[in-house]
Amino acid sequence: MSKPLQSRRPGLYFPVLAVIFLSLLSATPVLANEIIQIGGTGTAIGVMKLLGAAYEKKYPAVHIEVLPSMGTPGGIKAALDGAIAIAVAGRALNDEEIKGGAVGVEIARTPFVFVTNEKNPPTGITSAELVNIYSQKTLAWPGGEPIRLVLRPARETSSMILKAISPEMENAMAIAQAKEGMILAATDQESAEAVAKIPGALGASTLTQIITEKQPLKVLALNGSRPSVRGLADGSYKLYKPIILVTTPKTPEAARRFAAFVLSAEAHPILENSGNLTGPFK
Amino acid sequence: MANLEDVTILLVEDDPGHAQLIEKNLRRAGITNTIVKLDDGQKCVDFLFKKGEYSGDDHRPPFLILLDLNLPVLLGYQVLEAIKGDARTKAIPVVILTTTDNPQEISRCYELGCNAYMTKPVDYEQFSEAIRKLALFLAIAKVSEKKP
Amino acid sequence: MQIAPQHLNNSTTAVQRITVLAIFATLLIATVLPLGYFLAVYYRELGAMEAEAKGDSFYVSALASENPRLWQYQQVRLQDVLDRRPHKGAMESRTVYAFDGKMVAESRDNLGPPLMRQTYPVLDAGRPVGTVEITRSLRPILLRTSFAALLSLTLGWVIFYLIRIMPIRSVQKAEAQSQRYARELEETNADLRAFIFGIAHDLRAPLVNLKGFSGELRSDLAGVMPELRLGLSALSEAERQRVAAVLEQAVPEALGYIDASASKLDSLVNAILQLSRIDFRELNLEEIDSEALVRVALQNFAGTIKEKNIRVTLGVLPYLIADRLVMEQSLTNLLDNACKYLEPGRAGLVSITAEQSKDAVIFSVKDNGRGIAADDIHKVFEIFRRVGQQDTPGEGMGLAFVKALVRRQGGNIWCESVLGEGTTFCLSLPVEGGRRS
Repeated sequence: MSKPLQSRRPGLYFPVLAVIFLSLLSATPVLANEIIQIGGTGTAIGVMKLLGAAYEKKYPAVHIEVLPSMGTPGGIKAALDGAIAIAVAGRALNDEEIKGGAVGVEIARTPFVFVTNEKNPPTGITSAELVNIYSQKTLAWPGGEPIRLVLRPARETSSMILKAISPEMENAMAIAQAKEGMILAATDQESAEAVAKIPGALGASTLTQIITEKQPLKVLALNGSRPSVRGLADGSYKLYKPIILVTTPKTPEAARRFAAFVLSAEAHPILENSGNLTGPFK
Repeated sequence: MANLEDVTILLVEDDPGHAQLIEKNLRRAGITNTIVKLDDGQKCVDFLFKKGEYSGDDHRPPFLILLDLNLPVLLGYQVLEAIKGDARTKAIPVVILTTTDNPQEISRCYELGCNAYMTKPVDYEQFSEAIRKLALFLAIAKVSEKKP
Repeated sequence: MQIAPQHLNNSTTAVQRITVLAIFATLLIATVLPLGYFLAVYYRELGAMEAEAKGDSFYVSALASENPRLWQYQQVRLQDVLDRRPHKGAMESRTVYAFDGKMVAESRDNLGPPLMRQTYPVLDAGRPVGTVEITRSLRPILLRTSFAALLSLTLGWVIFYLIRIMPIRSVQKAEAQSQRYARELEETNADLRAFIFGIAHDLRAPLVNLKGFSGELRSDLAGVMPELRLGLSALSEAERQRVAAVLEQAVPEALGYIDASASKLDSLVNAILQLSRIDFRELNLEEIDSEALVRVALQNFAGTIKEKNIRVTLGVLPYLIADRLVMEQSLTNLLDNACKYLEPGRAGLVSITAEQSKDAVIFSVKDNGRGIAADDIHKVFEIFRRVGQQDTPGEGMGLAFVKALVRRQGGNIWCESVLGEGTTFCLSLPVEGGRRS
């Protein structure tokens, strides 16, 4: 099992040192560092780290810890159990989660893109081609290189988004999932790594992940339109993955304050620069 | 008393040799009566009841019947049955004179009403003696006066 | 004489034993086979499940080791592992439980009870932090076991048939057949006996004539002898001699032979008739004091015994159920022989003993007479045979007669002898009065 990519956080050292130094200087007892753990979809890890860093600058006493990808359902469950403070979901909450007391707020939408290896020639793909590829009818790129699909677990949010594209896509996905020996990536990070490494690979990802994690991936145009935040905004690019902040009755006060921050206009630039479209959403 | 010389003895015997021996010994013992010899059972019955070839005959019934059992056409015991079963002939004494000494046969003949049963001994001395004794018996026997 | 064989019916001990064996074998097969099958399949399945659980647990354990606090929330990964279970064949459910028993993730099918489950712990650095559980329905196995049971039952029935029904049926068939043969044999025998009896009987009539007319001839010749003699005087000397030879020698001689032969023929016929009659007589079985019977029989020979100074000893002679006449006639016959065929010059010693076995009483009449040569022993019981020196009068029919009598009652008679030393006749009679006609 490969470790998720750790993004470097050089900026955090100084505020921490500063806090310690300052707390050592002042005689007042220092408040223990409030650690807010955030977990969930791997898509939002990058942007959450950025948001966390920004928040920490404002409130040095708080430390935002963004956990490695545990997937949307895991994250929500952990938040409901109080094991983590806030969950980040890549899909809308289901009834059970809502009944459990989870409350979700959509903070952004990021384009859902198809990616391939940088060395791979193609630059775009169509819906029809996708259906053929996933249903195993088309097995090679135009250049002859075999198409190596990087799949995600069936219940994972990305897979669900793919299935929701069209009924044909749903069938095609079923075929791909059923086939033996396909490449399966558990997390968003693993998926990105796989597509980057494997020749002829084809997978799905999100713009925000690619940008924030600086993944060496080639983003494919879908049906001729290049994915972008603007494209999402004006409707020329339709596929997207929502980023939903989830709080639960067990979410501590400090975490709620962070949530409020993320929802505020202060967070918008960070979000937008990281490949996200901010709300309000229709 | 009727004259003993007038009555006949009926000898029903199919073996001519035996018939001859019996007759010779009877004669030697002093019997002078007419001996009617018949050689099968049917003829005996016909003779007695004046049927068949004897119909129309006008003879007196015999005073004694010497009956062998191994007869052709009609068996001896059937003849015996017929004789003892009919009122006309019931009274006639019947002496069974035969080779078999089977006790069951003997019983049957007595049951059917025979008056005496004699086995023919093979020994000729004994045979002659037996016939002589029979003759003696006949000499003292009375004849029934009753007309049939 | 009829034979009544012992029927191989359902109550014979042998049949009972075979039935028990067959039932045992059938039950064994009908229960052991399906049971064995069930256990084999069940434990194999459990083993496979354990292996699967173990495999999954390795993966989950790795997750746990990496993420000790939050591994339970790795929903996607956990779900993925569980979902990768084989979907063909048996339906199953796989579940991961946390240490406190709370369900962490599951991938399930609808399983009908009864269920079989196998678990394997999730280990974080050797410490159990949860369990992986695989559950399958026991129903398919039970279904297959019931098929196996059905097959075993059929097999058991086949075995039962082979062990119990088929052999006994064939034995019964064979017996029925042998009974038929026996019946046919009896009928044939009966016919034969009736035939012999009939013939012997019919031989009498011609014998009467033979003797009769040879007697007549003799008496007739005697009657005319005086007249003949007168006539002879008219002949020449030579002619007279010739006629005289015929009349006084040849003719009487011829008649003598005819007569003698006819007498012999008669005695043979009588013997045959007497033997044949044995079968027609009904057996009259009663309890007999054999000692008393022997003593009475010995009285018949009292004269001979005293005259020849024979010593007679009696052993213990039992009570038994037999036909009185058969016993009297056979024992009398044996005693007669013992007293008759003494060795001159040796004091006669006759001993009569009895031995009792499970089924029969064996009487032995032993004498120290002249004995019978080994070559001649088998002729002893032949009809019309006499063995040894013919200086004592006897018909030679006695022992054949005795044998037939004894056989009639289901017994047997045999003899042992050493020439010059003595003879022992053994007579066995069944204890229960033997076969009934």
